Amino acid sequence: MLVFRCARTGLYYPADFVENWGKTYGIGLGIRPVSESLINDYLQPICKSRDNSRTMHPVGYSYSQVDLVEVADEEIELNSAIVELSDPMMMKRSTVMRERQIIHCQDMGHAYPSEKVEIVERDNEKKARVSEIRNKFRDVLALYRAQNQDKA
Amino acid sequence: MIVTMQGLNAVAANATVQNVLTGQRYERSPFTAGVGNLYCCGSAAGLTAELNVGGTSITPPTNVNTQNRYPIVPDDVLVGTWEVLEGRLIQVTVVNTTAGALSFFWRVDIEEADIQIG
Repeated sequence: MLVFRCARTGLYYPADFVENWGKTYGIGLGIRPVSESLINDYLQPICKSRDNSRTMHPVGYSYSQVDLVEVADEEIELNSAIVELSDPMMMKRSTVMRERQIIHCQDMGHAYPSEKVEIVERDNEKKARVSEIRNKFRDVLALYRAQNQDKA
Repeated sequence: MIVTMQGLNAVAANATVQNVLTGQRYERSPFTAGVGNLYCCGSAAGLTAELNVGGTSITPPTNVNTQNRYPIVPDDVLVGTWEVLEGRLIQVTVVNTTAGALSFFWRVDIEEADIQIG
């Protein structure tokens, strides 16, 4: 399936991402289609929140390039981006970003050791699954090319 | 003469920063009469900013653009050409309405106004 991939985060946006830019995607992000996925700003201090599960470094839009790519359908389910319109109050995305911070940022990791173990395990499982899907997809693609070469 | 302040504040989820200029050198206007400009950017959607000068509301809570960088003059002006008298407090209040922490980039310019006496 064809999708748009964020060059910074590797997340996938639907195939109509560029076509519906400014309508359902990228509202307020300018005229050129760019990724609306979030990135962590580790240089800024941790923002403590009354709700412990919301304590995190600040996040911001990545504004990175999006490229049209063909990937396996199963991988899209695992790596699709949460679009702004479906999560305006950032409830789902902030949870994901905080988990990334606990994995990749030392000060966040030290603060939540038990959470970190669980998140790392889940992340490793996802990576293994993605890797498996990609390898399978690569094999299928190679087979398809080989068959077409024979026909030509 | 113009004085400028520029900075970045990290705002926690569903939190308010009463004044991002707190502790800044020109938190209170240094000129007998001045004309100010406020520029700001947010790192993502969901920040609102509000300007009060000397207890007078200049803007109601207003959505901030989402450029995720320091403000560019004049593109990122939120409100320009507001008057401020000597010693009056400039207060920029920022609210994060989302469940994630965000960054607020701001810049305030104050230009000395010419006053004709007599």
